[in-house]
Amino acid sequence: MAARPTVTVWSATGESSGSLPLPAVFTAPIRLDVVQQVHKSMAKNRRQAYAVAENAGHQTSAESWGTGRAVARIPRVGGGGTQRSGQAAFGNMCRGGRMFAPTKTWRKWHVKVNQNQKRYAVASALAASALPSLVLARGHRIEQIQEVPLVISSSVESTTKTKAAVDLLKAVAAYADVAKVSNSRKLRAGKGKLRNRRHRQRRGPLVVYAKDEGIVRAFKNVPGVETSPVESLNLLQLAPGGHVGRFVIWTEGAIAALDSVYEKKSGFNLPIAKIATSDVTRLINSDEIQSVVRPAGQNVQKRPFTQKKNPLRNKAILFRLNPYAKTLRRQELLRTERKSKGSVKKSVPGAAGKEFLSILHAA
Amino acid sequence: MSADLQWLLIRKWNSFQVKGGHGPVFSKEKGNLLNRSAHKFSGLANSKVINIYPSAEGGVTITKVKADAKPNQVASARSHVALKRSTGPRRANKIAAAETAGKGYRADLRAFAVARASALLRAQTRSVNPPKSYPQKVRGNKKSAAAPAKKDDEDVIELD
Repeated sequence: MAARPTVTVWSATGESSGSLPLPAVFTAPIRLDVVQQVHKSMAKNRRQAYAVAENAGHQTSAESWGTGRAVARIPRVGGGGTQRSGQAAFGNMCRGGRMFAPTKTWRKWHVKVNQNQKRYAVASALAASALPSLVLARGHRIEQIQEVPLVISSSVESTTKTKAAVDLLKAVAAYADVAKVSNSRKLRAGKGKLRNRRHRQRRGPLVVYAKDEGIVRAFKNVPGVETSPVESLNLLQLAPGGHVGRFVIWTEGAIAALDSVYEKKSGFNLPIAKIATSDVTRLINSDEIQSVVRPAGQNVQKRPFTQKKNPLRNKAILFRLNPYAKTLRRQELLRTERKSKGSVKKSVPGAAGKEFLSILHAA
Repeated sequence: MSADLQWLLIRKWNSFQVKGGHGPVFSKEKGNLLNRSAHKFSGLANSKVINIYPSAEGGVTITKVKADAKPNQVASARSHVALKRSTGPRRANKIAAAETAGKGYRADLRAFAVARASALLRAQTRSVNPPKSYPQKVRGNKKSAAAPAKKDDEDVIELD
C-alpha cells in the first residue's frame, strides 16, 4: 500500500509550515444515501411544536336539524336574528368549522437516528469535505486555496479579534467563500421574516478547532462562517441540506486529534470502502485484467453512409438476416428444376384403376 | 477517489447544474467546455480538465490540471497558458488544440476546445468601423406626444 497521504499545515500568514498524516476518516466511503437519510431525520429534531387551537371551530352549540327540513343533516347553529343562525358548523367542509383532523402539539416531531448511523454519515461527510471537486460542487469558492482539507496552525485558536480572523481567511485565500455569503444575503420570502429568520444566505466555511481560546468569538460575526469543536462534529454543519462537501478549515490541533476522536467512539469502526481501487479505467488497464483477456480482434468498420438495402428484394441481405431463407430458396429452385424436366413423383395420386371402378359401379 | 465515483456523487445534484425545462441538463462550472452536464465534459469529476475562458485584459486563458498534481491540491494543481489579446484566431485555435490533445491530455475534447477558443475570440473582435448607434425611433402615441409643436409651426408657416 502506498504511504499514507499527508496534509500541509499553513501558518496564519499563509505559508506552509509542516505537514501531518491524513486522518483515516478521510478515506471513509462517501454514502450519499446515508448522509441524506440521517440529515433528513436530524433536521426534524429542532422543530417547534405547532397546532391549531384546541377548540377552533367548536365554539358554537350547533345541532343537526335531523331529516325532514330538506337541508343537509350537518349540525346547524341555533337561534335567530343573526346571519350565523341556521348556518352549518363543525364539519371540515363548513365555513367556520374545524379543520379535518386538527393538528396537535403532541405530533411526533422528533425522529430517532441510530448513533452509529449518525457516525457513519459524519464520516462520509468528512471524507467528502476532503475532495476538491465535491467541495466545489457544493458551491464553495475554493478555487484560490492551496489544498483541501485546509489546515491552519493551532496558533489561530487563540485569535480573539474578528479583524484578525478575517485577515487569516484572506491569507489562506478562503475569503472568497465569505464574500459569496455576504453577496447572497437576501430578505426571506414569507412569514419567516417575522419569526427571527429575516434573511437567508449561503453557508461559508466551517472552522473546526481543538481548543477554544477565543477562536469561536473571533469568527462569530464573519458572515456564513461557523465553528465547531472537533469532538462534536455535527452532520447538519458538515452537510447542510444533506449535500456533502462543506468547506472545512481545520486547526492543526483539530486534525491531529481526529484519529483519537474516532478511536474513542466505542462500538464504532470506521467504514471501509468495498473496493480499494474504484478507478474503472485503471482496473481495465491493470496487468491482472489485461493478462487474462483475449487480444483485441480486428476492428469492424461499419460503413456509415451506404444505401439501405431491402431484404425482401436483395437476396444477399435477406440471407444475412435469415440464413434459413437460403435453404428454402434452394429447395424451391430444385423443385422447379425437377418439374421442368418432367420427372413427377410417383406418389402423386392419378385416376383410379379400371378394376376398382368396375367394382365401385357394379353395386 | 476515482473520477468515476466522484461523478456519481455530483451527477444528480451540484450547485452548477441548470435543470430548467425539459431539454438537456446544463452545467456552468469552470472547465466544462460545452456547459453540458455529462461526465465527459464535467469540470469537476475528471482528473484531466481543460478550462478555456476570457482573460480580464482581453485574450484567452487556458487552464489545465498539472500531471503531477495531488488529488487534494486545488490552486497549485492548475497551470495556466495566457494568450495575448493580439493572438489571432488561427494561432489561438492551434494552441487550444495542442493544449487539449497534446501529450495524451484529453484528445476527446479537441474539437470542443477549439470551438470554445474560437467563439471567445470571435466575441472579442473589435471592428474597424463599429456600428453607429442611432436613437430609437418613436412610434404611435409617443411620437405624437413628443413632436406636435414642431409640426404646428410648420403648418403655420405653410398657411401664411
